[in-house]
Parts: sequence; structure tokens; C-alpha cells
Amino acid sequence: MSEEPRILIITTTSCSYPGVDNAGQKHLEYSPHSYVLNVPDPVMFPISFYLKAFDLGYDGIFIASCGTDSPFRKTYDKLSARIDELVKEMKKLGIHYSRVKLTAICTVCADHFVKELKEFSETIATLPITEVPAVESAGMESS
Amino acid sequence: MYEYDALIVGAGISGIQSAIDLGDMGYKVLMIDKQSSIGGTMIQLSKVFPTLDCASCITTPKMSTAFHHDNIEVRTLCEVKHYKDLEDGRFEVILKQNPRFVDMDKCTGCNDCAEACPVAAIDLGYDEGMSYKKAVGVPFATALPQKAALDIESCIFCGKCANACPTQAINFDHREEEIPINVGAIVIATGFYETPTIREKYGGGKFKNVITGKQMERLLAPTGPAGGVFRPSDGKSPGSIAYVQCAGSRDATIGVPYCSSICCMFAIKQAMLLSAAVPLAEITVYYMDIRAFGKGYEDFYEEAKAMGVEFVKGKVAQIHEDDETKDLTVSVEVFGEDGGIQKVDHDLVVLSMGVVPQWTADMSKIIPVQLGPDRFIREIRFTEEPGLTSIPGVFAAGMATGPKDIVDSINSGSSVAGKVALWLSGGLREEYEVQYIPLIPTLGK
Amino acid sequence: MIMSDKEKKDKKKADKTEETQPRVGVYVCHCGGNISDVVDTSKVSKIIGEDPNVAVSKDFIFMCSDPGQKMIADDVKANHLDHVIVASCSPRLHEMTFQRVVSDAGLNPFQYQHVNIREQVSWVHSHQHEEATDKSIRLIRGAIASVLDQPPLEPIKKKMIQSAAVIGGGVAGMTAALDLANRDIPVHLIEKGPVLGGNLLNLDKLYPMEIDAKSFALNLADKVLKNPAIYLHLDTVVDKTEGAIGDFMLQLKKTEESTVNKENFAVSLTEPEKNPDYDISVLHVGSFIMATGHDLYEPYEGEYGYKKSPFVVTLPDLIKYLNIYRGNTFVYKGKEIKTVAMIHCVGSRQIEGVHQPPPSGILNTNCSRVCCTTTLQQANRLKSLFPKIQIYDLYRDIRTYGEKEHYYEEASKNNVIFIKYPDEESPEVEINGSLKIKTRDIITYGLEVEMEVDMIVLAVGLIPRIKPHIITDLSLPTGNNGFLQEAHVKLRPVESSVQGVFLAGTAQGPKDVRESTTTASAAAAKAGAILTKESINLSPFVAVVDTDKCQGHALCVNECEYNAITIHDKGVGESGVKIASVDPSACVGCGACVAVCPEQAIQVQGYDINKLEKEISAIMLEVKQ
Repeated sequence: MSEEPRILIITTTSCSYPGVDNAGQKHLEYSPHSYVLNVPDPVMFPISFYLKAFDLGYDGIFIASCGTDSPFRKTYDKLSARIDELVKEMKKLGIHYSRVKLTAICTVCADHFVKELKEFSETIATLPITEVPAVESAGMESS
Repeated sequence: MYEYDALIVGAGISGIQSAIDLGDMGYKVLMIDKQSSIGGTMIQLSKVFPTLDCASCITTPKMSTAFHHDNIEVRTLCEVKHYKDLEDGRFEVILKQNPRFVDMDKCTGCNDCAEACPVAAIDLGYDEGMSYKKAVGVPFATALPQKAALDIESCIFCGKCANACPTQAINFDHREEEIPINVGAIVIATGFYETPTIREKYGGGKFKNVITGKQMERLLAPTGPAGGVFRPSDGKSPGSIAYVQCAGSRDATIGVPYCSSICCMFAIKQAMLLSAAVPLAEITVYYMDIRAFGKGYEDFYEEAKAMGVEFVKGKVAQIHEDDETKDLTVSVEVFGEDGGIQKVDHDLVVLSMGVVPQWTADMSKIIPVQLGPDRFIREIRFTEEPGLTSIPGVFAAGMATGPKDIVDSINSGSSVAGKVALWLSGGLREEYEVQYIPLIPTLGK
Repeated sequence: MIMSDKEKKDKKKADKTEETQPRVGVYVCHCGGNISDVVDTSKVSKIIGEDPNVAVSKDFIFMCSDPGQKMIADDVKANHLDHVIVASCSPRLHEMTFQRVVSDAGLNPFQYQHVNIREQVSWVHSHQHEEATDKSIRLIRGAIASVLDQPPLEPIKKKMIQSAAVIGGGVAGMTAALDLANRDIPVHLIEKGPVLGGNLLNLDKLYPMEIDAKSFALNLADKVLKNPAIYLHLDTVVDKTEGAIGDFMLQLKKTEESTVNKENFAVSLTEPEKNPDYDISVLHVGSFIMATGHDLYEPYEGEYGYKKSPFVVTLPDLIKYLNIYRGNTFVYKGKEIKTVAMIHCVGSRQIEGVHQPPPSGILNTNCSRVCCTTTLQQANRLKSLFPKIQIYDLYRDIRTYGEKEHYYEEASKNNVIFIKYPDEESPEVEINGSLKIKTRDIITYGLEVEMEVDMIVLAVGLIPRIKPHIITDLSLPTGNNGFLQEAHVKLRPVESSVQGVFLAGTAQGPKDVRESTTTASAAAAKAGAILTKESINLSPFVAVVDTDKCQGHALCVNECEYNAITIHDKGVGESGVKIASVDPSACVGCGACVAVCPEQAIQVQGYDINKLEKEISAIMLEVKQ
């Protein structure tokens, strides 16, 4: 397999998931090393979740939110604030800020999605590989 | 005598929608179709405009919901034979159950019968004459019921299928049966055919490489006969494909003066699909007016133009076929700056044939609904309450009342379900007193 | 000993892991080649089959087909499967199909997980077969990890308030209200103006039956007024909206001034005798229908000479004038009109760089659907009233679809002169005492044509209304062009993506009157189907509090924009400890609360963070070749 960066794409049920589907319906192409995790709204993720993803080996996290079209109240403002915090945290841990990207993808924004993802992927590919210090996930149950 | 709240005649997308909505409201529904599977025209299509959803993918869930619905019973190979208005808000109907020659209870849908069958008859049904089919077998991959049916017309009675069948389901003793039922309302949702008359100037149906829009649908469908787009004469991949719009409508000389509403959009959609399926082919659409009138359709049209599909405003006068190569030359009067009469060579020509109703004057002898001037079922409250026919308690949905795309057919199916519910709860009786006389000359004649 | 629910759950989980290995069934769909032409489905199914948690792993041509569904149902029973995964097309198409299959077979629908390997794999990586196969395996592994961590969920039952509201008193609103009321469902019909009828009141005869629009409106309004189940609220707008299916709260407000001039229209529309002024300012309804209609495009000053010359009018202006004009020759503003030019697509089918967008700033790229036929109808009307009048029709495409084609034929017989102007080159209008139009005609091979006319009629398009409160309050989605967006363009044309809210008429997009009544009846049929039930099942995807972990910090309470979380005493005997609890019918499941809880004590059901971490962790495991 190639050395292409592995990317976690976080989508939303009402906007970007159908938008990513739309790229499929239009038979556009993007990196196969990208994996969609769908949620109602990424506002649900605490900072620890993103750090855990880096810890697991993801080279980048692409957050495809609804932007201001979110069906939920004020979630976009809260999400952007959280990502700002996340970037600060990443800096402390020596993870390059370009490894996380917050975008807004609508239900028919196929071209936009593919373009953004491609740029993201290319940017990450130029970054030196960072060793991510292990992060304790606060919620992990010991079993 | 079986009793139902509603009988739905025709299990295409609008009939299915009516059935589901009525079933969800708690009414007992019987839905019949004369074909051996439900699904109607939509299940034959490749993809749908303007979303480019695969038609089969979005039809099968609806088919499945209706077919497995607690309140809906489905009969295939079934038609209405006799009808009587009991004048008390109910109807007595005698159904004609055509023989399947396969016992539904025994058949497992394994299709071993089709494997054994030596017949290869042209498939004039599902594959629109673009492939050969066996005389017996499950009608198509996503058919419902998923049971074999035997076509007695093409059967040569060799008995190989009966031997091959692991459950002895083949039964040549089947005969036509009459099933009397009593229903509270009837919905006619019999849909359309492509206009059958191919004009002489377009080859009169004799040119091999001149096909219809629906045949192209089959070639483009993932479930299609050839797994790709080919020229029927030699199986080659076409380098240049032309669409002739309004080939079977907006033409009083063939008895279809109205516009069929769907051909512009399906041609645009097919052109887009062809650019992906046959990337090197040049695609030209000869049109008089592009009618992209639905929501999001204009954007779809613009997208097709941006993809390189050539839209040429012009009138096609004649198609000529080369006797040897079967290549085609289209004579067309092209409008626009460098316009004039031009002769253009094409490998494949698709005629956008337009639509005519499946419900005929003969069928109106069985259920005597009036027909309108365009020979679709007349709606007595066309504008105010679409779906009401000239007979109280008998409704019509989808293409049976006039050209409609899928969205409009689904809307029509749902709205008719609402009207049926009103009727069944004792309403809608006085609506039939008002009858408007249409003033527009052609519709009034 | 009494165990808490959580303890029971843990115990059950523990018992399960001790006693039995999970038995997952995985089904990989070919989609008739759509998937299997790119993804090596048999390899996927083989490698997944090696997972000890997987009891059955198969691939098949069409999982959604009846034999495919039957295969799953049979396996669940015969192989005692406890979880099922189908890897096929987008869950938006078939997730519900398979959830139904597994639940019919005796499993909880949430013991099912769907994996999208078509729209998000085979269709987007069509040239990278190996990578696509690798990705499919990883995604399925993620789904296995996730589904094994997902406890069964049950829908939440909610009582249905069995009455409805219809917003907008035009043709669609009135039709929908009548259809509901005739099924004995009480309806509140809310109209912002002083009269019923909406845009109908601006029309002449309704094509193709040529019914008089005003008597049509009167007729409908009369039925509305006489119907005892319809409560009419005129001069009223919805000021605030809250709630969800089963119980929507609409706060009403009387408008200060009306937008329609009362005197122009029939009195009976405005005098609801049976309708005393209800002093209701807050309504509670189970479902409502948006029938808020459209606005007409208003040309900007100077667009084709509009407002620069009094003889440049819009099509609705012409209709209004002809409705009252009674002369033998066509006189307008003191001038006899002998030649008229009608220009199509004013404010519709707009092209970037060619046209100026309406005040909303969004180009109206849509076709307005009704203007072609109306223009030709009025051209024919002019010809029949004033046979000597000369009419030029400047168009891009004549869109008289369906039976409306007869109007085009009629206009051609009436010698209306048709000129097809290029899409990207709008006709130019010069006002110099007279009106002069310059354009090119495609029909005559692009010839430049110039004509002098007495009047120019602009066929203005239909544009969406400025967003009323209700749209923003409930976040009802609107599409690219600003019209209300349906749940699925093709299959669910009258449903909004907000459950219990339905769309009728032109609020959803341009429609003629017949199409508006059709969608109104369809919306009423759908709303009626739920309103006749006493309770409905709600999505279980709402936030829940782990009562053991919660420390009563209340950060979640402040974070919730829906007032769905409250803090209360934990229970008798433990006074002093306060914990949070969630009202599931108010909760929308956005998850804003989840991220702020320091104890991770609140989670959205179905999207537990720990579960999602296991999913992304399983995806990262290397696939052995």
C-alpha cells in the first residue's frame, strides 16, 4: 500500500454525509485512504476524541460540518471554538495545526468536498511525520 | 367474495405510492398489475434526474415496502375483467387472474427453470426488445414477487423446465381464473407506453441503429442486457450519438399533439450518463425547446451543457441509413448563427418518443371512466381536486391522467390516496355535482 | 438486592461475553457490478469471515432484493446471529430496509449496522481496485467494532396532539386545510393577510380548464369558512415556533397592517361570520403544513426599461389590467396599444455574469415553470379581445409542457411572432419616445432584429419568500434557490426533513394551481396519516445521562439550546447530590452537551463516544493480504 496520509472524515447526517454521497453519484475521485465517520453534529466530540484519533495513527482529521446551515442551534459557533482550542492543544503536543481542518459541506457540494479533501491530503503529505504522544481517553472503560 | 377498502389497478410508482399511503392510514388495499412483477416503468430505468439516483435502488425499497405491507395484498398477472357500481359507495369487481404456470407456493426463485429452458425469445417487456429471454424464469433481478413465471406464447412445451425444477413448481394445468371482489374505491394507475408510431422519416422502426429513449434506458441500466452501450447492428461502441427530441409527441399527425413532459429531461440525463459510459462519444441533442421546468432541472441542464453535451436547436427532417454499414445520416435544419440545412453522420440515433396512456377506450368499456381530448383519463375537477374521474369513487393517479415525471407521479399517488381516504370516510360526495366545461378550444372539442 | 438499570445492563453484558462469542452476520453486496466491478467482494467477504466474531460472511448480487433480504432473515434464525452488517449502497437508500429485515427476524434494529461501500468506495475509487477493497474491509471492521458496542434501543413513544396547522391561506393552504378538516382533523389556518386566496387573486383564468381564478378562490374560501373543523386566523403571522412532531407550539401574532388592499377583492373572503376573533395566541398542534407560497420577481429599475417607461409592465400587471378593462381597442394609460412584445424568463433561468440577481442576492437559476403558459394564454387573450393586435414573443425555450402545449399551438395559429433570443444575450430595450427592442433571432439563423412596440410585457418569475420566522426557528432547510427543501427530491416531495412538517404548493418550488392542489392534498394525506394516530414513535437518538457518572456540574444544562436538560435531586436518601436528566421529546440529539461533560456522563444514544472510538480504532488495523 502507498504512503498516502490516512484521513478521518467526520460528516453530519443532514449535510455532508449526503454531500460525500453526492461525490459518489457524480463518480468523482478522491483518496481511498479516507474514512467517513458520521454523526448528527461534530459538536459532540470533546478535544480528547481528536487527540485519540491522532494517537490511533490518523494523519489528518477533516471535519465536514454543516457550517451555518446546521439544523441544530448554535452548534457551528461552538464547534469552531472547540477546534480553536484543539489547535492550541495540538501545538502543545507538537502536532502540526494543518492536520485538522474544519469545513462546511452541503448536501450537493460534491466538487467542493473533493477539492478541499484533495488540498488537505496534499498539505498533510508534505508535513514531517509526527510522533503523537499517547493520550489517555477520559472515557475508556477498563475492562 | 373478498372485500377490500381499495383496489389499485397498476403497480408502478404512483400506484405503489397510493397503496403505501392508504396502507399506512390503515385501509385494506389490493394492488394488481398485469405484469409478472410490480415496479412499472420506473424499475426499468437507469438513473433518475436530477439527482442521478439509480432508479432501481430507489424503487426497490418502495416496491418492497408495499409488497410486505400488512395492509396491502398484491396480485400480479392480474387484470380487471368486469365492474359493477353498486351505487352505495361500493363496487363489485371481477378480476381476471392470468395463469403463471408456476405454483407460487412451491417456487423458490432459484431460476433453475430458466437455466434449463432452450428458448431465446426477444424480450419485448423488461428489456424493451434489446435482449433475448427464456420462456420461463424470474422476470428480472429485482422483481417482486421473486417467483418464476412462464410465458406460454414463447414456450415450446419441451418440459425441460419442469424436470429441472427442484420443487415441481411448473404447472401447465394453470388456467385463467375469475376472482370476484368487493371494494370501496378504485384507483386507476395504469401508466403509459412510449408512443408506438415511429414515423417513416425516422426509419419507421426498420433502422437497426435508431432506438427509442426507453431502449437506451435499458442499455444504460446497471441491470441492462449488454453491460454497456452498443450499436444494435454490429455491437460496436458508438462514436457519435444523436437525440431527436419530440419524435413522438407535439405532433398532431401521429395523434399526439401534447408535450410528453419527460423527454427533455430523460434525454439530458441519458446524455450525461453516456458521457460517462462512452467517454469518447460525441453527443448531440436536436431539440425545438428544452423543457427543464421542474425544481433543479434547469441547473441539471446547465450541468449537461458544461459536460460537453451539444444541444442544437433544429428540426430533424429525415434519417437515412446506409444499406451496408447501417451508419446513419441525419438531415436537420439547424437554427442559430451558422444555421441551415445540414447533413450530419451519427452511429446511433435515439428517438425521444413521448408517451401515450396504457388505459384505452376499450378499457373504459369495462370501467366506464370518461377520457379527455388527449385520450388520458379525464379528471372532472382537474385543477381543484386532481385525481377525481367521472365516476364517484373511481380515482386515477400518475401518468394515467396525463404526462408526469416521477416526482409529479408520486405527488399524484399520495394526493389520490388522500382523496380515497376522504371518499371511504363518507366524504367527497357533493364534489361530483360541479362540472366545469373546459374553455380552451382543443380541450373542449 | 435491587440493581440499577445500568448494573443490569453491565451484568447482562458480562454474562454475554462470558457465555458466548458474538455472532455477527456480514453481507457484502455486488450491486449488480456497481460495487463488485471495483471492490473484490469475495475477498472482502473471505477476510471478514476470518474475524472470530463473525459467524456468517457472504457476498451477493443484490442484497436489497427479496432473495437477499430472505438470506439475511434465514441466517439470523438458522445461525443464531446476534448482529448483522450489510455493506452496500448508501444507508440513505437501504438502512431502513435492512433494519426492518433484522427486526422481522427477531433482532433489535440497532443490532444492525450499514456500511457504505458504493457511494463512498466503489464509485469514488473506481481506478484503485486494491485500495477500494482494503478500504471496504476496514470500514466493515469498524462497523463490527461499533455494532458490538451498541446496546439495543427502542423508539420513544410520544403522544400525538391530534390537530394541525396550515400556514398560508392561498390555494395550497386552503386545499390542505379542507382535506384535513374533511377527515375530522381540527385545523388552524393561519394567513398573514386580511383575505384568503393568496396569489390566486392576481390571476385571470386558470389554464387549461380556463376556470375563473376569482370564483375558484371564492369557492374554496367559502368551503373553508363553512367548515366547522377549520379555525381561521387572518392578519396573523407565526411569531415563534418550538417543539417537535406530536407537539409543535406556534405563537401567533396579529399583523399591524395588511399587505393586500381589501377593496379590490370579494368581501365574503374577508368576513368570516362563523369566525369570531379567537383569542388564541399560542397553538399546540401535532403536525403542520407549510403553504407559504412564493413572491413574484420584481424587475429592477431599468431592466428591459421597467419603471423608465410606463409601457413596460409585468405580466401580472397586464392580467390585472385586462381583468377590469372593457374597451374594444386596447388603450393603456391613454395610448392605443397596437403592438406588444412579451419577454420570457425575466428573473428566472438567470445566468451568472449575464443577469443581475434579485435583492436576496441569490441568482434565480430555476425555471419558474408557469410563466411560459401564462404568457401564451395572455397572448391568446389579447388576440381574441383585440384581433388586430400584433404580438412578438421573445423567448428562450417555450415550456408549455403536457397538455399546455395546446396554448402554444393556439398562439401559433393566432400569428403570434416567436423570436428565440440567445440565452446569454438578453434583448436590449431603448426608450426614446417609443419602445425599441433589439435582439437576435436564432430561428432566422441569428439575424439581428429590431422592432418598435407600444408595450413590453415582462413574464416575471416566481421567487421564494423572504424566510419567515418559522423557517429559522425550526431550522427548516431551504435549497440552493431558497425554496423550502423536501426530504428527498424524488421520493419524498412533500415532506420536510423536520419530522411532522409537510410542504404544499409553491413554498417548495414553482407550480401551477393544479400542481399546488396536488401537493396540498398529498401533504394533507401524509399529515392525516400521523394525525389520526394517538401516539407516534420517536427516534431514540437522544441524549441520556449515566446516573452513576453524573456529578451534577450542570455544564450540559447551560450548553443545551433546547432546554431539554434539567438538574434535580438524585433520589431519596442521597440529598445533596444533584444529577441531570433529559426530556427526550425536547432533545434533538445534537450532542452539544456530550463534549462539555467532564465525566463523559452524557451521551447521545447510538453515538456513544467510546463506541465511535472503537470504530475508528478498528479501521486503522492493517489488512493482512
